[in-house]
Amino acid sequence: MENPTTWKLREAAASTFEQLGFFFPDEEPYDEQLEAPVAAVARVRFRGPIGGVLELRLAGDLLGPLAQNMLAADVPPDHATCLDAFGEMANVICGNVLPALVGSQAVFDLEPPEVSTDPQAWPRFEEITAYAVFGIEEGRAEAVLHIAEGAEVVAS
Amino acid sequence: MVFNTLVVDDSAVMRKMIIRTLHLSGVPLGEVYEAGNGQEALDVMADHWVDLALVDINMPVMNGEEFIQRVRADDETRDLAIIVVSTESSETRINQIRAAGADFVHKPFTPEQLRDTVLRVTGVSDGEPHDMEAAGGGGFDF
Amino acid sequence: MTVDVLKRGYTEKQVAGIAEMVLSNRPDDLLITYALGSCLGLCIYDPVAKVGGLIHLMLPSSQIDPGRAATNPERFVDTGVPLLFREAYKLGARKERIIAKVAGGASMVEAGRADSFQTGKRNYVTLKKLLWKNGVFLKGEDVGGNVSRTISLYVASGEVVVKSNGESKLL
Repeated sequence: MENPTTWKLREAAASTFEQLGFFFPDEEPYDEQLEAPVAAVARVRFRGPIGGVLELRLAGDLLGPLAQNMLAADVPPDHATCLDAFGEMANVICGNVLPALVGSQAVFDLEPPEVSTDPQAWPRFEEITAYAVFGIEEGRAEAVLHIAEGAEVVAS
Repeated sequence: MVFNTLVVDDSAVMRKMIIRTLHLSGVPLGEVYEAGNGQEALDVMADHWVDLALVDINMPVMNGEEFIQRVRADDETRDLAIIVVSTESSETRINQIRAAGADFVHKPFTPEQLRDTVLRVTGVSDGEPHDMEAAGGGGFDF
Repeated sequence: MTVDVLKRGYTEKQVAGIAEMVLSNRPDDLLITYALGSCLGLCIYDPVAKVGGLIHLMLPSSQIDPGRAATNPERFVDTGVPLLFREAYKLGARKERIIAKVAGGASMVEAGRADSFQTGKRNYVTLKKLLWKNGVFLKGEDVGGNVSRTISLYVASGEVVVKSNGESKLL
């Protein structure tokens, strides 16, 4: 049985990819999707009753198609725009998962997303609170939640 | 009546998605301005008349909450129609937004959800010709 | 809202079978498609030209079987939807007036077995992407869940009725 935090992260990420990214998030990715190399990482830092980082990883050739879907464009836009689109996905997932974890009265401040195409841009988290992975087209998306402060207030 | 519209979000892609939905909704648009945060939005409003603003909450430099407070505190701009388009899910904050006379659309939104709120706030009835060409994006397949 | 379908007038019933579409500009016609499980029934209607169309879409993408898509484009969302719109234009419909409504996309599984292909949801996400790309909003939808649905469109009025579990409602 999946723990509630993981389930809420999965829900927030899946609905964001569906509604904002116009991608079908497959909850049972196949081997080729799982083997695709990570192409971009986005991090959103948050402060509130709990503090930490939401990380979104995109693997395979999805950075261009994601921005193309969002903009209803015929071809992928320029690189900076692709990164902006991906960062906004991370921002939206983060904003949705946090109140789901600690209740709808809680107020959070989110920092603007930081985006890199270097999979090693940031040191790995020492501890991961929740992780969700989806197959998307020929690649995948991974959402990682790291709660650094206040983990004890998360309802289980 | 046309609506001079200001779209305030730190994501350029999100601004374009919102502007596309506005054009497709059939709202008669005048000038459409963009700003990356609350301060840039105030700067736009110092130089241009705006009827409708769509505003994110979490932004660098000046967030959406402070922008709304500043707009409501100024006699020149206090009646601006405001729709907050944000990932914000805190009831506390959403209540504050509504108390300040702004409407609210939650991200992620479907194009239909944003359209319905825009039509309600502007009082434009549905069914008017949509501005397909101005919507941006790529060409149509049908 | 529950409606009594029998009280609504029509004389000709045009049935779209699975992976088929029907179009009409005759006010006496009722367009209907049955047994939408994971399939989508998409209705489009121009209230000025009084042109209606209905398609029963089975699968999201023609890429899995281009040969079949060539002979039966109505089967797939990505080939069937453009075809439906273009055929409606031939009857006088105009895109900026079209009202689109959809039903179906359910998760049809036998008890205790996972819906691992999630065809219904894939169909729906593919449709939403296609409509966003082409600047069309949905005016009504009744999708998801695990029920079988029937959708019908009255060409005279443009009213769309969805029936499931013995209940009818206006969409």
